[in-house]
Amino acid sequence: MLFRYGQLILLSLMFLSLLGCSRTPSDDPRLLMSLEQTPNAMGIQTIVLVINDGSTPLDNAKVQIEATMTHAGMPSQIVQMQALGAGKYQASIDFSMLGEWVLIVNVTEANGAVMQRTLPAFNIQ
Amino acid sequence: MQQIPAIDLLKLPGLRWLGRWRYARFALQLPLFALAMLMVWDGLTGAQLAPKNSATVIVWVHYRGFLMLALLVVGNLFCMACPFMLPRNLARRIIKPRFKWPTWLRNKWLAAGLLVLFFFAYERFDLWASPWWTAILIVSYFAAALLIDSSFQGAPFCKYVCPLGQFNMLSSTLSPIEVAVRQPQRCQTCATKDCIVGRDDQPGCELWLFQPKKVGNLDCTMCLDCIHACPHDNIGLLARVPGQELISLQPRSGIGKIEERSDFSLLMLVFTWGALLNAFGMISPVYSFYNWLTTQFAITSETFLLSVVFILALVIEPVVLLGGAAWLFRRISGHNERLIAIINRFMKGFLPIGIAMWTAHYAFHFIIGFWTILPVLRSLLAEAGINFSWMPVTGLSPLVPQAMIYPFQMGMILLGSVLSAVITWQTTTTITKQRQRWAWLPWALVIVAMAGSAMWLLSQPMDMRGILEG
Ligand code: SF4
Ligand code: SF4
Ligand SMILES: [Cu+2]
Repeated sequence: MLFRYGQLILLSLMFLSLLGCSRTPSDDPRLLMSLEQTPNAMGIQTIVLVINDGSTPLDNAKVQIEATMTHAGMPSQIVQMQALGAGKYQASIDFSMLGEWVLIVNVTEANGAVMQRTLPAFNIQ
Repeated sequence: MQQIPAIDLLKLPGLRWLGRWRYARFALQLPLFALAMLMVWDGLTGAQLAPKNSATVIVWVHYRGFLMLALLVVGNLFCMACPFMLPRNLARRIIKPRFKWPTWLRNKWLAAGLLVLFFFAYERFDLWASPWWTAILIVSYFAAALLIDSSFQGAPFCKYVCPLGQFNMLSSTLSPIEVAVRQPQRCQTCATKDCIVGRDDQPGCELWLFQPKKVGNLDCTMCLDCIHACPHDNIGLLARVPGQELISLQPRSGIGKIEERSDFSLLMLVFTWGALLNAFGMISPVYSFYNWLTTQFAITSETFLLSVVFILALVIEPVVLLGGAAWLFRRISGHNERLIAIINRFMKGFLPIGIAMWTAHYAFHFIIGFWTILPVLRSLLAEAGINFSWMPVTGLSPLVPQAMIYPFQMGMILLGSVLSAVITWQTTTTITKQRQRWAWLPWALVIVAMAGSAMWLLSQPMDMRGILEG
């Protein structure tokens, strides 16, 4: 009886660890991303993201940005960014709490390629 | 205390199986065990961003909120359904532990130390922000419970080690439900005492609480063992006045008098002052304080800065407040015990304000973050090939309007302070007949100071970052 339990637990653990192999969303190192200015104060702020594909600005992409905190428990904001041309995309985010924030960018290129990148975390203080 | 007809949860329709069915606890543990396994897997292999990982979201947002809610509305339900006890109980079926827990460890010193260690690790490793560390924490609990309880007889892990269990047991002093004898007369004629020694395969109380002499919820994991062991069906989950046991001066079975135990006193101190410290760790002024410390000592080591804060909050502040109150009390009342002995007598009086602070704090995160489980759930389901894309992932509002949180928190602190005032007053009047009101005043001032700091802490803006990046 007990051995069956033990085996079951062991088996499920092995199974689970196998599943773990491909659990993080893909990133495409080809795309270069940077914020024109890193937000640092509380309140609603407009952020501008510059995306380059190698040396050419990436236009005509659908860019969605998710703002969340590095700690659990704060609802995240997901907004569609507005294309400004010349590889620039803009959105307004409400930084409603002090602390460490992080932005996750989802890009869908014109050819349908999809990628996700988490930008370096920064402090709102 | 039994003038009103006692409410017994085990007599309610739908809950009877808990008392009758031997595998009731096992059935309660299974879902939590499955959840724990899921969190461990996700924590170790999933996204290492806290809001995206079920380990961090469930443990630090939901679990802590539910824990306090359950404790205040019913009792120590987490220990009742504790997943850590499941592998341990299974192992006990083949491994009969050979050793006796050493006498010098039969107290709460170790547990108090571990509780401090846990609070320290929580800040130092930013557990709230780390799925990986959260998973490791869960695994450590399983491993420690299994290891200790397969080597030592009884339930030493729950009684002397588990910091979480101590937290639950201390909080359950304010629970409205306790495991207690239905008809005391029945126990007087009982020859077998199965509730403590066990019968057949059913163990008796492994935490060494003997029902006829058990007082209150301290050290009780609500494991149901005694209920299943009693051949006369004489133990129930009975309603009582919350906090009543803090006024009792009777010796407690398996514990003795908490009013005379320095180890218990320290545990309660860590719990109560830890509540303030834990909240201090997440508000804005803590970073100004760190900066100030850095300029004072020219040391930037996070471990050092944290240690300074911990020593201030868990040693200096309580020693000054409690030592001062005890000294004044002695001067005023002419009571002639040592200061430590006086502090031990009064310490339980501060539990309610500690419990109130933990509740106020965790309720905040629970209310703000309740729905943040949806995006995590949705992506877990998507991974399993189940499409739940109708589930909202953004624009998630708090569980109740945010404006209601602060008044609720203030209410909790006030309630806790009143209870603390009542209990310290009762202690004063039982140990001195001299100038009781004046003698009580220093303790009342400590309560006011603590309630004041609690309210100030709760009114500060939250600031959630690790101090490394600060
Ligand atoms: S004391 Fe700890 S291990 Fe024991 S039942 Fe409670 S939480 Fe579980
Ligand atoms: S008194 Fe002992 S056996 Fe009974 S529920 Fe509490 S811990 Fe379990
Ligand atoms: Cu907090």
